[in-house]
This record gives sequence, structure tokens and C-alpha cells, in this order.
Amino acid sequence: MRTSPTRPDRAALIGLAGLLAVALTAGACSSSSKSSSSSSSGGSNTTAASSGSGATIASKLTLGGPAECQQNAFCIPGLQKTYGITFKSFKTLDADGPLTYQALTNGQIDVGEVFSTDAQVVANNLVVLNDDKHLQAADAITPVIANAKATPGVTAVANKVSTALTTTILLNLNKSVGVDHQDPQAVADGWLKSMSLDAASTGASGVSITIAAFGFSESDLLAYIYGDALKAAGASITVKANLGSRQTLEPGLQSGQFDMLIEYAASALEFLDHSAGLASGDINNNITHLKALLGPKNITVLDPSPAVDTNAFAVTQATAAKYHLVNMSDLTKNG
Amino acid sequence: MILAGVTLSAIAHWFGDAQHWRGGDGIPHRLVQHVTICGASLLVAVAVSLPVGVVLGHLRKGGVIAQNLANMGRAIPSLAILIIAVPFLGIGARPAELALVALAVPPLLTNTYVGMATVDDDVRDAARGMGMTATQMIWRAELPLALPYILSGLRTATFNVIATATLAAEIASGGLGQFISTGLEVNDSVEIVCGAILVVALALTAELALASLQRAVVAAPLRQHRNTRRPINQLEEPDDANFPDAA
Amino acid sequence: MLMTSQPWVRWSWVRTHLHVIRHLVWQHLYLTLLAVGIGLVITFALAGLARAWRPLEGPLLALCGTLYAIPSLALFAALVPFTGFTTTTAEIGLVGYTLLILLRNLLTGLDAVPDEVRDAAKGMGFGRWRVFTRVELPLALPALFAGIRVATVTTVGLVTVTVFIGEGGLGSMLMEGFQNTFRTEELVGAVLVVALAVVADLVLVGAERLLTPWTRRARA
Repeated sequence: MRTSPTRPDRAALIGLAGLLAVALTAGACSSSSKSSSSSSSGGSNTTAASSGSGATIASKLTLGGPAECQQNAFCIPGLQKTYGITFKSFKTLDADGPLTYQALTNGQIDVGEVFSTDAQVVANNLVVLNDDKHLQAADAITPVIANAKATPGVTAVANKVSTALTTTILLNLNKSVGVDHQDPQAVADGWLKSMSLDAASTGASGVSITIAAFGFSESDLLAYIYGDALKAAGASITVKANLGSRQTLEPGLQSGQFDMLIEYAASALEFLDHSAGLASGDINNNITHLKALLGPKNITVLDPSPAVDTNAFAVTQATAAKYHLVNMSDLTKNG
Repeated sequence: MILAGVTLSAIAHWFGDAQHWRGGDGIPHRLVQHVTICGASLLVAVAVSLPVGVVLGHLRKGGVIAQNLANMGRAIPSLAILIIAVPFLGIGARPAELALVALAVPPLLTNTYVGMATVDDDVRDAARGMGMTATQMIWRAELPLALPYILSGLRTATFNVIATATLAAEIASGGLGQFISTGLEVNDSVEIVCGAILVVALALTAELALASLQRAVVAAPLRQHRNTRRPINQLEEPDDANFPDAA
Repeated sequence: MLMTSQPWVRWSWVRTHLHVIRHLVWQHLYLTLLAVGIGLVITFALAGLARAWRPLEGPLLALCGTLYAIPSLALFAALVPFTGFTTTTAEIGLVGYTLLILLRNLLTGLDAVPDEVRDAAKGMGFGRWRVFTRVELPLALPALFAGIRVATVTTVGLVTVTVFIGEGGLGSMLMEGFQNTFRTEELVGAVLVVALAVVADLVLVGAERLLTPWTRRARA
């Protein structure tokens, strides 16, 4: 028997480990005061006890939410800018998903970033803090689609769906899925049927569209809603879910990896304008800016829906009672 | 040089950023989380598998099950086990640890069994002839001979566990996998690559440590015999890196 | 924990989603078999190279071994900037993971062919190529098959991880169920992946017995 062919493995392992050590040392030795410009996990930005805020309620609490909360103008940066809120720490969980709700209910986090149309908030006996300084903007459901796929037939169907969708309806549909645990596609199709939006036609036939969904259940639901409506109109639909957040999906849309995204007007705008503050509570303003930014990228912004879904911050009843929390600005009080 | 769309200097910068070495999202904290999760699960897995494997192997009973356990264990995809654990155990490090135990037991149990069961009959007869009790036989005669197999199983289990613990970030268990998960979420390729480097470095370190342990603990004469005793059809070989579960 | 309790398996959902389940099972199987198939082809090519030029063997195995150590989530994610959220990305990663298993087993099997047998074949006038295909390969088959078994079962598990880059097969059922806290979907996804792996393993064991009857005698 010849020598084991795996013995060179070990030499390679040692070599690789050595290389790694050298690389790490080299990296660590480079200027440590320079923070990398694209540092997304950015350490815990919120752990540095900012001057003078040491005793605020927020500085004692842990915030939980999706990874992109650190960069989202309507999350951590916005909380700091509009409210002066700095939390003790941030825990990366998910976007209004099972991780966030479980962490809230079993005390692993104190404040959770949730979505305003999610019925799980009520079902879990949570309290949403009032956005008294109006950080959140008009985040209307707004499909955006590649020019090539925005045929008159497709556009007509999508706009009809958008018009029919309201915040209350969305809340109820979310409840059916998130609380009553019904099948998302069945819920979507049921609603389409009730609004007569599933009538078979050929308005969109011959078009094949890939819809990307964000990594949270409402986005899946919306993808089914618009997707199945378009399917009924003859389009061929593929849904890609779980690809990540806006940081991945917007570039993906622009580079043609998928064709359609059911966006949220204000959040999309703030992302595309690099948090320049163009978004406001006026939906028309948001749409105009959005069209100006996406038009040059050959992306069509379809009609916004009356349905709005913004970020919201929730705590348990116990936490709210303990710190007397009703409004977001209560978090900056000394506690 | 570009690694997955990321330059070497970008990687060096990421590691050089002091922010990444501080606090709850820092490398040291997440490294400790990762090692704790892996260590705890391996401890439990060893505590469960070793006694069972030793006894069964000594008695040469339950062979079919024990031998196929490694195969069956491999059939359980790590992501599925992590997700399914959540309704029962919730999220975080604890459920991840328990799920990881399920992944660590098969290679450990199988290898322990095989190691004990394939001890030469001559050795066992000699031990019996010398008047050893069963316990003495196990400790003095069989275990030392089974050690190469057991340690090999431990190496496989360790590799499996370290790799799968990176996925556990998806159920909020923390650990080095969180870098990869977050990087994927916010489309930060540098973070993904750096996270991968950290996990690989940890796996390599563990591998080297266990290899040294194997060399130190296994008696010299046995080391020479390893090459000849290489059953090809058996899936767990008492040799260097087996076929651990990539995860 | 969560408010409304739900049954572990809502059979009505299963009944109305048989076509979805079937589609995902096929997608999962397709991704797996494609990866193992391509992996085999590459393995044969690499093995041939390694046999022709011995010094190549060590580095080749080391390279595959290093690939294997990379956490799957990271490997898939790192490929996305190059090949996008496509099946290609998933397959590149999946094939990479099969390579170590298949290549190592094939080389081990070829190594294990006793020199006398090789000499006998040469003595009978077999050329290098014929020795390889008529003598060495058949004898290495058991080892290769063990590798195919392990590779296939491992790949079935890895396909679930591709959900994070837009593929996923049954993994997408698993994650969608998780995201919506929909136990039926989670369970069906999980059970089916395990079932798929077990069935694949059994089928391959059967195939191994059929194709290498001589080992059956050795085992008995």
C-alpha cells in the first residue's frame, strides 16, 4: 500500500493556516483607527455610550432587527437622527420574522423592529411605540419592473391589483398567513378571487417575469398576489425568494437578474438616494423622485398602492409598563 | 488578487478595522460563541456516543445499526435539523447545540463501535487468558487499539459541527456564521469572504489540534499499522480527514 | 410561544400542493444528480491526470480538501457576484463539494489494485489505457461507489442550503415554512429531504451490489 494520498493534505493545511495567520496579522497591523468605509456589520455602532445619553432608557435596551437595520434610513440611522435614540446594542435577527418575534417574547431583545402591517404584533401581545416625530415616511407598496417587461397588459394588471390593495386588507391577509397559518398562496389567490382580479385573460401572455421577494413573509405574499394575477393574464411567472434585502435586490433588478420587485416607495427611495432625505410623507413626492432615479436604469415605477407598510418598533407589554413607553421619544427620557 | 470579487486589500482592511474586533458583533465575541456552541455539542455527543459505542463494540452487538448510523446521520441535512429544532427548542445557541449533537453522534458512535469491534480476536483471547475481567479488557486491551478510530470519528464530528454551526446563525445562535449571513443579507462580499476565512481558519486549527492529539495519544506501533488497515468499502476510515459533512 | 396553535401536519395543504411538492422534489433531485454527474466526469478527468503524472495527486487532493472546508453558505454566497442567482452558481458550489469525496475514493481505489494484477495485465499485452479501463477501474469500482453514495447523500443536504441564493429545491419549502411559522410546510420539506437522501442511498447500495457482484462474495 502506498503512502496515504491524504498526507499532503496535512502539509497543505499547515501551509494554508500559516498563510491565514500572516494575512490576519498583516491586516490587524494596518491602521486600526481607519474604519472601513463599507463596514456593514460595523461592530456595534450603538455600544459606544454617546456623550450625555448615558442614562436614557434606550441606552439600557437591546434592539433587534434585520441586518440592514444598521444602514436603513428608517431604522438605526434615522432613530439617531430624528429622535437621538442610541440603543445599548443591536442584535441581528431577521426582517419581521420568527426570529424577531421569538426574541421579543422570550426577552432576548427589548425592542424589535417590526412592520406596521404585521398582525403578529397584536397576536403576540406586543405594543408598537408611536412614531411621534414622524420618522417613517410614505412607504406605499409600489411594484417596479424592468422596462422590457412593462408591457401595457402587464402594467394594467399590476395597477389594478395595486389600486385594490389597502393597508387594512394587507393587515388581514398577513394575519391569515402569519397568525392563522394558512398557506400564503391560497390566501393570495383567495383575495384575488374575491376582488375578481383572477379573471383569465391574455393581456400579459407571452411575457415571462421573474419576481424577486424580500426575505419576509409579506413580500412572499405580495409576490404571490401580483404573480398569480399576472399568471391569470397569461404571463409566465417565476418567484425568487430569500435572496436578501434591498442591498441585494435593487442591484439585482438593475442588472437584470430578475424583472420585478414589489417595493416600498419611501424605503426604496432612501436606499437609492443614499439616505439623502428625499423621502417624505407625501407619496407623490416619493414616486416622482423614484421615477427620476430608476428611469435612467430602464426600470418602470408602476402605480403605488394605497396600502402602506412602514417600519415600527415594538416592545412587550411588560417593557412598556416598566419604562412607561408610549411614544418613540419616550425612549430618550432618563430611566 | 481577487477572491470572489473582493480584493486582498479589502480583506486586509476588514480585518484591520478595529470596529470588527469589538463588542457583540466583533470577531472575538462571535468566535467565542462559535467555539462554545461547538464545544458543548461535542462534549454531549462524546458523553453519549463513547459509552454506547464501547459497550456495543465490546459485545459485538447492534453492529448493523451502529455501522450504518454514520450513513443515516449524513442523510440528515444540517439546515433541516436546525429549522425543525426551533418549534421545540426556540431560537439561539441552545437549540443549535442540541441540533449539532444529532450531527456529531453518528460519526462518533460508528467509529467507536467499529474500532472496538474490529479488535483482533487474538488480543481478546489473550486478555481473557490473562484473567482480565470485561472492564479490564475494555480499558487495557481494546480501547487503546480502538483509539485511532475513535479519534478519527472525533475529527469528523468536530469538522461537521464547526461547519454546521455557521448555518446556525440563521436561527440567531450567533457565531462566525453571522458574518456570512449578514454579508449575504446586505450584499457585502467582503464580509462574506472574511467570515468564510474565519470559519475555515477555525476548522483548520481544530483539525491540526486533533491531529496532534491523535499523534500524541495513539501508541507509535499502531500508527504504522493504520495504512494497512484501510477498508475501502467502509465509509468511516481511521485515517486523516474523512468525509465530513460539508455544511 | 406563538399564539394560534396549529396542527403539525395540515393534510389539506399537502393534498392541494402535491404539484408544488412534486416540482420541488424533482428540482432537488435534478440539482443533486447534475452535481454528482458533473463531479464524476471531472473526477475521472482529474484522476486520469493524476495517474499520468503522479506528483499532481497530492496538490489536487489538497485543493479539493481546502474547497471542502469552506462553509457551503459562504461558498455559494461568494460565487454570486460572478455568476448571479442562478442554477450555475449553485451547481459550481455543489460540484466542488463532490470532488473531494469522489476523487479521493477513486484514487484510493486505483491505488489499492495489487501490483501483481497490473503486471499480469501488462503481461497479457494490455496497453496503459486498457489496463486502466479493463483492470484498474473495475477493481476501483467499489471504492468509487462508496464515494458516489457519500457524495450523493451529502449533496442532497447541501442543495437545501442553496435556498439562500434563490434555488433550494426542498430547502425553499423548509425556509418558507420557517418564515411563515407554517409547521406543515417546514415538516414536509424536512421529512422529504431526509427521505430523498435515504432513498438515494438505498438505490445506490442496490446499484453497487448489481455492478460489483464479486464484492458480495468477498463480503459474505
